[in-house]
Amino acid sequence: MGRYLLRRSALAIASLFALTTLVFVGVNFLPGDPATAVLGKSATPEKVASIQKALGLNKPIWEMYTNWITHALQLDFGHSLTYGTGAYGYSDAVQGTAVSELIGGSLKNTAILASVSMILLIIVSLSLGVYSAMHRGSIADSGVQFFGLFFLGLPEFVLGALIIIAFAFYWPILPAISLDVTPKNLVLPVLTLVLVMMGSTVRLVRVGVIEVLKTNYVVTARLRGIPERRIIMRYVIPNAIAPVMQVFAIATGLFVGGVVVVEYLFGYPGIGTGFVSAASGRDYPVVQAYAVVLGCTYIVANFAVDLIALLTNPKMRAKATS
Amino acid sequence: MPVTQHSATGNSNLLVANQLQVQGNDGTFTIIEGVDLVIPKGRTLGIVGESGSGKTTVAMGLLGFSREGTRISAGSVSLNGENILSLSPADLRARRGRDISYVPQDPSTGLHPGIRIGVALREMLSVHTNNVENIDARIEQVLRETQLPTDAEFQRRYPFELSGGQQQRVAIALALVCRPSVIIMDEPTTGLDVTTQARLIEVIRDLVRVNGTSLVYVSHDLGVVRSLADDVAVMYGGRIVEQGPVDEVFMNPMHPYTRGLLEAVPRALTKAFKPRAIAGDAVEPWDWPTGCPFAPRCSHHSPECDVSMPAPVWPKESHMLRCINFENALKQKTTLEPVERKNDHLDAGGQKENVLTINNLHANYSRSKLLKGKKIVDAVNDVSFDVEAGSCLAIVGESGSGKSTTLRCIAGLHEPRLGVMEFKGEVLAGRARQRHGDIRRLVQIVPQNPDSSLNPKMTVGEIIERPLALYSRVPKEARHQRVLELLELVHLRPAMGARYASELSGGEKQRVAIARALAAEPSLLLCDEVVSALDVAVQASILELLEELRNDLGMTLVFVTHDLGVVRSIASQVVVMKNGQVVETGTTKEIFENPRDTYTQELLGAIPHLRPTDYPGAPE
Amino acid sequence: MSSTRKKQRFRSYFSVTGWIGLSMTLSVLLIALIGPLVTPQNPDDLLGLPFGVSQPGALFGFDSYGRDSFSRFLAGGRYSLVVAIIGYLVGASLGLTLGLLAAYSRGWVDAALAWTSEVLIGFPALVLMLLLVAGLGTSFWVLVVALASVNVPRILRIVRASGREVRDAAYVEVAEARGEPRRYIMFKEIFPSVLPAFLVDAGVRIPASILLVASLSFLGLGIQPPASDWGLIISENRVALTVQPLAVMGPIVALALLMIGVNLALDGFKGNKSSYRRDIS
Repeated sequence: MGRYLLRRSALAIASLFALTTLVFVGVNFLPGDPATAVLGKSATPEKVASIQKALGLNKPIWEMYTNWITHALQLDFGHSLTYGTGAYGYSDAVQGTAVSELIGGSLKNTAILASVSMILLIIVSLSLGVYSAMHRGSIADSGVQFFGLFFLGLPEFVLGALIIIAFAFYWPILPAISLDVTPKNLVLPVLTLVLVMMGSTVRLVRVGVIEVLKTNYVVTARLRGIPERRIIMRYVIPNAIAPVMQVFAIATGLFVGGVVVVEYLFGYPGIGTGFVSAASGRDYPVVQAYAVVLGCTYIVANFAVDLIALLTNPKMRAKATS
Repeated sequence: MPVTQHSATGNSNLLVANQLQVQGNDGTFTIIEGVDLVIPKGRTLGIVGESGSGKTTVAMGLLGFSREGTRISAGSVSLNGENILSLSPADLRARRGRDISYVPQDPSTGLHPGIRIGVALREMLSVHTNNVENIDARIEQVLRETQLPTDAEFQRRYPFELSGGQQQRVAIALALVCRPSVIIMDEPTTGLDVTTQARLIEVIRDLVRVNGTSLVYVSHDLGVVRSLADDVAVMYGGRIVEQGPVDEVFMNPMHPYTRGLLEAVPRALTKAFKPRAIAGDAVEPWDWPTGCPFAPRCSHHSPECDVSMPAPVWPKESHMLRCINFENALKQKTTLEPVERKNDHLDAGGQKENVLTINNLHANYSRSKLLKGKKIVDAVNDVSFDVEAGSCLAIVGESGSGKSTTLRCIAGLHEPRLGVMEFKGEVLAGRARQRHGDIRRLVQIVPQNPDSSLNPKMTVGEIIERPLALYSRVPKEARHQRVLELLELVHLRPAMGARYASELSGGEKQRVAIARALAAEPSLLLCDEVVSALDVAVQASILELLEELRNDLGMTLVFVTHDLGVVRSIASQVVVMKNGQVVETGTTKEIFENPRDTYTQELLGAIPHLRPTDYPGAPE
Repeated sequence: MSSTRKKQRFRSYFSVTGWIGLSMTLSVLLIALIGPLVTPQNPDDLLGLPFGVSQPGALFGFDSYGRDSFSRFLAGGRYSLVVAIIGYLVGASLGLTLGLLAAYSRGWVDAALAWTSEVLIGFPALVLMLLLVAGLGTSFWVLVVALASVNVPRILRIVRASGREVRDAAYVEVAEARGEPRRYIMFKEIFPSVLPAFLVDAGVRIPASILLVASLSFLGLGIQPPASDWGLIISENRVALTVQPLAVMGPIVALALLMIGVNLALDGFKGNKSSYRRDIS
């Protein structure tokens, strides 16, 4: 499947390139001097100069960019400006904590939170969505539809706050904040993420399956006397996979934003919390690193979904190999 | 043996529908009602009707199936004496595909895109039979019967790897593989090219004869039904209005609707009348009148027609119709005029003047794709022809012949690669925008699909007014008056000016599209398959209109079509195209009576046609 | 058409739940707009104990600094609303024009626009906004620009997609053959068909923009303290959710009603029923 794959990979790589450029430009090209911004009131000319040197701000923009990108490719995003004993806010020592080191631990925590939520989200929305589609118009279907309306597009911090009030105030059975990663601490953040995302994913899965159910070939299969079970397994599900996967790939974009907010709300030690505090503290190397990591998730998820679509669709497979 | 007055439930009858009725789930509209059909063993029943007549609903109802949002609300369907509508869902499912099977209208969407042909055939056998030994032999046999390759490589193909004709054969093979006693085919050849259709009809005819299968064949094409069926049922407004043996109904139609249909079909091969339209538009299920649904369009309409649906009458043992006034209708002789070639007024001026000259036209579609390189598809290859002033030139050909691309080049929508187009002695630029104002105005196009030819967000009046404003031929104050004149010219009521496209029928939309073109006062009108999406009764009215405009306004027409019947009834000159090239040009008389090219001969031979003896007979 | 028929038509645009949703949305927007004018207390005055509970004159009790929660709620809706609406309008005008241009022009113009918007959409909205705010600060116009840059590619994509559907329609070709100017074809022939999709999108996107700005405030990167904002209120009082939940009740209920109202309204929006019937026949 040479050409298509090649084209799709080129697109993914180009997106990654555009992403990193955007991140770089977003932080470096914009007006205002980062060094002064970081130091705030404690800025002295020497401190500013030393930060500028450390950040490479005294070099031409192109050199800065290639420098940053070659290092980034080796997962070296430089050093934090605010974290670690050597950070500029505290002393004139050369370097703060390495960004990759800062990210490492929080990345793992976020991976746990995100993957648990995503898996749960996929299971719940697939089962509810497929069930609703098969029983279109039933009371259960309308119930699911109506229930979904209440969570569709609701901001995470609103629903999360409600959930905290419900499960930690009125009915105090779970912790309101999750400062470390334990199963009990994960319950409420995961619940918030799943509920917020579910509103749209259940609907979209349902629509995707209904679209297949309505096709001419499913009607014709019924007229040919193919048993209903077999129609679902052989005719509907395989063709619903691609559009349904697409749902989750698109949801990734929202999901990433959701993770940031939920982590911040629950004080969960992940990259979301890290990203927000780095952004507030104008810790540019850290902001860049987090933005790249978060942006990549979406690109990688979409790439993976397109590959799955390719493998499950013989027509596209044939086109890809030609 | 067809339905007779006394044979409601004969024992030799395989499939009998009795008072079948299908309604919307909420009961607010009825799609078909009181449908009685009898299909004896080994016979073929044709169901004909215009779009919206309920023929597909009947076809599906015969399998005990109704589309989503509708239900079978009354009646029975018995297969081998057993009412399948009272079976449990599982038992009904077991009958479908095994005893009674279905071939859908559009094979490209009716076959699952991800299931290989061999697998689909095998699935049918494994679902419906217990006999596992001879599966391979049976599959090979059915592929041979449908004239498809039998090898393993072919069986491993997916539907999208087949041509349209092959896809439809696979759909037929799937319907045939379990050896059902009845097959229902819903417009199986619609959308196929005429030569492909002719071969497929041969296949179907042989299958029925060899296997003794009963066939229900649904079609809007009277010629196809005439050539395949033993019996015919004519549907209108959800009811069967006339039914009987095919010879009887076609040669001696008694219902005003059937007669109207036969008068409206353009005949390609018999010397014939000018097709005549049935006034008005087909009725929709939610607009059914209480009486006869055809009454509003019927010229033999009397007050009793509006009271209730006429009961069936049998003027002959096997000939049923539902009409109160058929005896009056029969007294009236047809008043159709024979087709005459409008060459007289051309010769009157002495010399023939060419309005349009096409010389060595080449055009192609280039598809450049990222990392794929350029692929050039030759759509038009060295095409030349002349169009005489005031004549109607038809370009005919099958899909992919380049006929539409040629027309698009003339319209300035597609830039030719090579060649010269001259209009009134001036060279036409490739793009409409590069042409100067008067040339743009004088060449107008009427597009193919009535559903997308009008902007849905504009009223008819605004649509027709736009060319008036663009070419500023008419002062602002006079434009409204001019729009009304144009509406009258295309036989639309002035009130239509306030409507939107969605409120118009297909025929009305095409009239508006013609009026829009006329607003520019063109001298050359380009018509791209303007009648192919219309029902036959409406099609005739558009052809009448175009003929009238050509005579009255002295316009020149270039008419692209795949339908040779239409060509014969409207054109004076014909260009036959195949694979981007012109294979033959000549006058209509020459092409139809004395075709020289083998492809033209093949095309003419492939038309499923009515017989010279069919109503209203051939003019002398 | 007579005016009564017009009225009936208008009434039947929404179902009963649709009307309920619409009125929920409008009342939240109304509170956000006029709230700052009717606060019973000065929202910035320290009037009670931090996280003090409800008492006469302070319906929702006090916030983390001891300010009147109810007054802060009334005062806290307008900023996000104004930022969101201006950010949406800037994004919409650009997205609409570029989307129409892409749909009409095909070729490399279309490819470049489609490409760029896809890449930008690849960036999760909140992450893009955080990045821009980190680089540019949290001023009003930065927020507007950040929001617009989230909205432009998304609106462009929707306009382009629905514009392409009519781009090849026969009536557009007829207009070209007639020699109509590009401007006429883009705005008179194509735009009216894009409008419904654009408006439905606006129905979702404007509230979503409000929530995005509120999310940013919640993360401490929108409007800065001591100003009052719904997102910020929730953020400032989140540590005391289990002690004084009333402090965040106003903003939570308002934001939830806003989105639920929009969903109900869109869900209750009825299309043309006759098209459904036409499907069956």
